[in-house]
Amino acid sequence: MREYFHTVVWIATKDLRLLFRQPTSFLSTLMFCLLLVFIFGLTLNLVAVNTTQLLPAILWIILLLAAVLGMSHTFTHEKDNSCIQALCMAVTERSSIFLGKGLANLMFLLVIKVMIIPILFLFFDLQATINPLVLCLTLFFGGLGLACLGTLFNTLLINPGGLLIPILLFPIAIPLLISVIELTKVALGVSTQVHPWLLLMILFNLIFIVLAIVLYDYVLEV
Amino acid sequence: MLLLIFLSLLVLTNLALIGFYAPVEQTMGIVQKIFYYHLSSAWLGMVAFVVVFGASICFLRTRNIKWTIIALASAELGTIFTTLVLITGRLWARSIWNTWWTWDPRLMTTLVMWFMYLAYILLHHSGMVEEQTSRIAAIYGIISFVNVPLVFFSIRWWRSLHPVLITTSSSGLSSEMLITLLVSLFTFLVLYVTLMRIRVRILTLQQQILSISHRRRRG
Repeated sequence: MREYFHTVVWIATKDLRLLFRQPTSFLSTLMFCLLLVFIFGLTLNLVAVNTTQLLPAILWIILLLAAVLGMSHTFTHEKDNSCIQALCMAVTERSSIFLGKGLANLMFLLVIKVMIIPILFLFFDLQATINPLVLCLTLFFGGLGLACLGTLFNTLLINPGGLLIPILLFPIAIPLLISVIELTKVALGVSTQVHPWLLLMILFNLIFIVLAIVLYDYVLEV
Repeated sequence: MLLLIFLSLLVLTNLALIGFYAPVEQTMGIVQKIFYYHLSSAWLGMVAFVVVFGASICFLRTRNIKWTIIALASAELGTIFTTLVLITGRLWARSIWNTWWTWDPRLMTTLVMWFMYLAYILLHHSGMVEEQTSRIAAIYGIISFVNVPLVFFSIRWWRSLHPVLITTSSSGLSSEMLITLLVSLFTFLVLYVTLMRIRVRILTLQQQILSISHRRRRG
């Protein structure tokens, strides 16, 4: 068990180190998010609506798109020189690759969020008092769910990739999206209902992490 | 052939029951009669999804292409039935709720199910190697199935506009309506089985033709 988690951390560290050494993927995702914040801000300003009400939905649409775009790097560098075969041979349990890569993707998404959210709040001139605990919980579990789905679908569609990833991922992510948007509404003081959404969000994460671990031997066949 | 004759008789009986036997609902009027097709399509949409799920597991275990064919045929029929659910539901909602669409959880999850069915079919036409397509589609079939309980339980999880017709204590329907509904459900099930048999046969023949042409090209 200890060796398993050691492998997970080792794979996550390797991926994060690669991201740090070649920051193009990270920077382009960040730039993409910044542009989306700008475009949403500009276009909604043109129609002059109450943006605080819309902020949770805008935030998660941006993060969902960023997750799909940003996580496409998960296996691209593994395809060169048949690194994926070497990676599969290096580990005893293939699910450790999923957890390692998922962990790296989660860190990637969390950093993007930390950088984007203050800018989003600034652009949308947020006046509401924020509940930091609910916001942090939502961002973490929301990120975890997106990282899990992103890693799973990027492995599954390692060869075709492209437009198929969002087509397959978006319908599956809907329950997560609903729960995180509802919880972000709570964090921004727009709503007060926490429990059902928190339950749904945690349940979604649990189900998909377990399902991915169980299925991963079939998912990653090289 | 026998199955087709049986199905034709069932469809006619079902239509007669809906038209003449089942009473007109007092508040909703004649529009309520669409419910017999709506619920039956919804039930078949679910059944088709369970079949996709089961066949996907069987494929991953055995790697026999026949399971992929069954799953694909079921997904195609599921798409048709879910489309019917969405169309009949909209016709009913326009008359009763005075709106074509509302973001009701059950409507939303049915639409999500429809999207997943389409994504599943799209996967099969993405031009990948057949074995790879079958594996990816099987895994997606299993993952998508996780959404089905959400369709079932969404009405309990979220506040909903959708009428709860089947509860644990009573059905909320008169006996004539219940009989008509049960006949409709059975008719749709027979329709599904008949269409499945035909579609599976067509897909199997297509598969055989493809493998013969591959062999000839290699030879």
